[in-house]
Order: sequence, then structure tokens, then C-alpha cells
Amino acid sequence: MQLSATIDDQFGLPLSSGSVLAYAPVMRPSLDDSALMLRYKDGDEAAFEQLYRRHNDALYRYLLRLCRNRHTAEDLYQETWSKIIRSRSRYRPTAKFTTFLFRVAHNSFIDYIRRNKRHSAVSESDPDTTAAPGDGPSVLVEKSKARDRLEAALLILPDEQRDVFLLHEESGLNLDAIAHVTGVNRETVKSRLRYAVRKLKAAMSDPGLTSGKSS
Amino acid sequence: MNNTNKHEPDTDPEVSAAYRAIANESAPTQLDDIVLQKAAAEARTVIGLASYIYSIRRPLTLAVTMLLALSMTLQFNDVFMGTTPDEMNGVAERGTGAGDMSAVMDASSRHILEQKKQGEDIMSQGRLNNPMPSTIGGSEAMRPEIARYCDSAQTLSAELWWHCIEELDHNGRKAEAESERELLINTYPDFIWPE
Repeated sequence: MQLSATIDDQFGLPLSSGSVLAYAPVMRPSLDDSALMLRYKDGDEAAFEQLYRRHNDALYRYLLRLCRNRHTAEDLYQETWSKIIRSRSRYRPTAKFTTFLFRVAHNSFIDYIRRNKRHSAVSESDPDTTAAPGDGPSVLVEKSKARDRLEAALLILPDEQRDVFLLHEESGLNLDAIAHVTGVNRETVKSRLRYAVRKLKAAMSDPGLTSGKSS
Repeated sequence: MNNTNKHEPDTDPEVSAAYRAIANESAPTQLDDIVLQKAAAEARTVIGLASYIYSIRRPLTLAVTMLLALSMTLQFNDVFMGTTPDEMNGVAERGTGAGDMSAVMDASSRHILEQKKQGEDIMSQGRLNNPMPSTIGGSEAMRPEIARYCDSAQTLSAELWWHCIEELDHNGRKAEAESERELLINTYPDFIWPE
């Protein structure tokens, strides 16, 4: 709407001019993440909200499955965003914002592991398993089976492999960026991802895993 | 989130699709609210000011540098201002090398020493000729920097200063005498004015 007003001002057209307003959504610039972060750095709250809405769900899912515990994931989720907010005055768009965000989240998780050695013992399979409102009974059953198998398979993956797999799926980062996030070299990331995918695929085709989730 | 897994050699579309089918959770609304409120609060507080200061640091540095340069230039000029034109000419005649500055300083020092000697002479003369009790209350540090009508040497002593004021009065320079009288009162508040 701001752009529409600007265009109207520039060309002397009234704000109610339908022809201009019709094009406004198309012409509205979509700022990239770094630009939004820089705007937030200058005090633009709306820019941060836009940036947040782009990444909140992916980050939440990443931490939810990485931690395997909802409360921990929520704590780390808040911690991650708090760090992003606090670091905005020092922010430099030298790397992709997604890399920066997931690196902060990854480091928060590593810190959590170091603080709490009992992480593995208290882990629980507690991702959000609520069904979508429109799902029918048969769909629910199928969904439930696939979900259970994959969830079970994800649970038994080593932390490093699960981390790389989740980063790959949720952040959309390439192997080099994941290597940067996790602090290991590209070949290690590639190897971990290959192992993770292989194990998940094998587990998905194994019906025994559904019932063997807690074993 | 749309990902780029399809181009990676170590991904499996089946696994990715299965994962995407189950990974449909969203961040809880209350968490969204907490984070966004925190972000909004931070944007309005200290960091905003810090960011502003950070953004103007370059012009600020430039302004401070220019101010310092100006101040140094003015101080440099003051050294020359304290020298009489004759002495300046003498310096100019001696050349324009690195020795100029020291020559000017020598001239200034000589001028000050002469004034001091003259003041001491007047003071001793005043003590001999004037039987009034000495009421010199002000120290040298309290001596006014600028005595506009009385010689600076005369202001070294309250009595000499008073004599100067009397002289001004006698010569009909009432305004100047009044001005000097005020300065004397400020400088030597305990001076007992002769009847």
C-alpha cells in the first residue's frame, strides 16, 4: 500500500485510481532476508515480523525434531530468536540470513547438550502429531503409519545425522551452507546426510519400526 | 519451506516427500507473540539509539577532527598575537625557518620580563612614598588578566591601583575610573579605601 501511495504521488494519480492499485501487489518489492534484517537494525519492527514469518515454522520444526522434546525445543526457539534480536546491531549481510539463523539455532542446541548431559535420557518422541481437520479416517491411518515410521526412524538416528538431515529439509541450505552451520567440512556433511537418508529409507520400508518406536 | 534437495545427489525424493508429509507443524502462536513483542520492544529501546550513534560515527569523527584542528590553529595564532609588530618584523627579517617560533617566544618572554621589572620598580616606589598601611589582599593569581586603563604593574598592589584610579578621576576620566574601581573591589575585596 505504501508503494501504491508513492506511485500515486509520483504520477499525480488519485489514491482511488483502480488501474494503479491493481498493479500495486505485483510491483511491491519483496525484500530479501538480509535487507529486512538491516531494516530491523534501523528500528523497522514490521521488517522483522516479515522476516520472522518467513522462517518461524521451519525453525520450529527443526528444533522440535532435533531436540525430540517440545519444551526444550520451545525454549531453544525463543533463545535463538532472542539472540537474533540482540545481535541485530552487529549484523552484517556477509552470509545468507538462513545460514545465520540456523547456525544460531544449531549452536543453541549444542550448548543445551553440553549443559544437560541427560539430553538423551529425557528425550521423548513429541513432535506435533495432531491431524489436519479435514483428514478422513483412511487418510489418518495412512498418515499415522508413515508418520510413526519416519518419526521412529528419525528418533534412532544419531544426533549429528539427524541434525544434517533436518537442516537439509527445513532450512533449504545446500551442503556448503550446512557445513558452515554445523562447523564441519562439506564431505562430512555429505557423508552424514547419505547415512541419514539411507537409514530413514530402510526404516520406512520396515513395518516393524512402527511398533518398535520406543525400543 | 521450499528446499533445494532435488539437486543434491545424496537426497532421496521418497524420504523427502515422506518427511514433508509429516512435517507440517507451525510455531505456536504464543511463541510468535513472545518473539515479536520482544523484537518490537528491543527496536524501540537502547539498541535503536546505539544503532543511530553507530550510523553517525563517521561524520561525528570528522567534526571532532575539524574542531581539534581549528582549536590548534587558534592557539598557534595566539602565540603570534602576543608579540608586538616590531618583534614580528624582527622575526620576519631573520628568515622563515624552523627557528621562527623560538624567536617569537624569546621576544614574548623578554616583553613579559620587562613588564614585570617595571611593575616591581613602581611597587617599591609606591611603598616608599605612601605611608598607608599595606592591605594587599590578593595574590598574584588573583591579579586581573585585563586592566584596561591602569598598567598591569600598578594592579599588583591595591594602593598603586587606587592611585591610578585617583589619577584617572583627577584627569576627568570618570567612566574609566569607575570601571577600574570595580575591578579593584573584585580583586582586593579587603582593601580599605583611604578617606
